[in-house]
Amino acid sequence: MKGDRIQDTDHVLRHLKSTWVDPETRTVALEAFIWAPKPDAIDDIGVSVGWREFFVDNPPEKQVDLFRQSCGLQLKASARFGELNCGRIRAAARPVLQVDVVHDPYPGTDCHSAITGFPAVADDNARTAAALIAECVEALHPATLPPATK
Amino acid sequence: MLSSAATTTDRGHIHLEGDHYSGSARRVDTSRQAERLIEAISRSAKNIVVSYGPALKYLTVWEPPISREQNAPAWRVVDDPMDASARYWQQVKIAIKRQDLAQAAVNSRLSQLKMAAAEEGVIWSTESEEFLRQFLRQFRPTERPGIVLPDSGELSATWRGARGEAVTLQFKRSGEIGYVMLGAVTPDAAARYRSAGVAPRQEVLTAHLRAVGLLGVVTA
Repeated sequence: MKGDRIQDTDHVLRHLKSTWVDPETRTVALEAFIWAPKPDAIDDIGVSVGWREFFVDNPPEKQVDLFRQSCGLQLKASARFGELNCGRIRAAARPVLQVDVVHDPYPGTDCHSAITGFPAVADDNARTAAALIAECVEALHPATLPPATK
Repeated sequence: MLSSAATTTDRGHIHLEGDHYSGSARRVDTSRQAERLIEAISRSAKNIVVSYGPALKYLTVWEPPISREQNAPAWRVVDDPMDASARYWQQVKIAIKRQDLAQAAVNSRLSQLKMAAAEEGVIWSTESEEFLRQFLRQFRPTERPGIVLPDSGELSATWRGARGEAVTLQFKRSGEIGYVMLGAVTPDAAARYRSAGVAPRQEVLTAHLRAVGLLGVVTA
C-alpha cells in the first residue's frame, strides 16, 4: 500500500543514466541519490526507485526483468539499474539524514517506491547522505537486454 | 625507453641522472651542514625525497616524479646511497609506468563519457575537463579514479582507499571544487569521518585533505 515502509531485507532498483555510472570502477554518481523534485510534481516524495520484491514469487533476475517491463521509463541500452538493500540505505544515511524507503505506487507502475527524507534543495548533509547511499549499490543490471535473452 | 645512471666523482659526490629525475648524493660532515643543505634544497624544489647515511656521511636528494605523500616519510636513512638510489629508481620506474597507465585509462574514460554525454544530451564542460586534467597532472595518481558526469556537465571523480575511505571531487566551471569526503569505515557508522562542501581553490582542498588524512587516498 502507498506509504508502506519497505522492509530492511528487501531491495530497490534505481535507474542510472550511462553518464552516472563508471562500471569499471563501480562508481555511481552521488547525484543519482539526490532528490530533485520537479516544481509541477506535487506527489513526488523522494528519489524514485523500483521495489524488486514487489514481484514476489519470482527469482531475483526475473524480478529485475519485470521491473524493466513495468517501470515506464524509456530505457537506453547504455543505462543501468543499481540494486540496493533497503536496510543498508537506512543504516548508511542515518548519521546525517533520517531517510526511509517507502512504497509509492502510481497507475501503471505498482512497484514504484521512493527514498524519502531528503530536503527539496540539496545541502551538504544531503550530498553526504547521497554519497553514503551511492556506496550501497550492490549490483548493476543492464537496463535493457539483448533481444535473444528476453 | 627509460634510463638511469649513477656516477661517482673523485670528490665523493654521486651524480644521478634519469629520464624523469635527477639528483645527487653529497658528502656532509656535520648535522648542521646537512640541515642547511636540506633547507636550501627544500626551498628550490618540489617533491623532494631525502635520505642520508647513518653517520650523516651522505645526503642524497632526488627530485622524483612521485609525489611526496606516497613516499612519506620524506626522510630515509640509508646505509649505501648508491644502493638506495638504485632501489629508488626501480620504484620510480614502476610508479611512472602505473601513472602512465592510469593517465591512458583516464583519457579512455573521458572519451567514453563524452559520447555518453552526447547521447544523454548533457552539455560537456571543457573547463571542468581541463580542471580535472590539471588536477590529475599535479597528483599523478597510479590508479584512475571513478569518473562520472552529473547533469550539470561538471565532471566528478571518486577515489577509494583500502579502508573504505572515499573522496569525491567535482570540478566546477568556476574553478571551485565540490567535495564529499568519507573517512575509513568504522564499526560505529556515526563515528566515520565525513565532510562536504565547496573549496574555493585547489590549495584549500589539498590542505583540508591533508589535515584529515585523506590526501594519500587521492595521490595513491
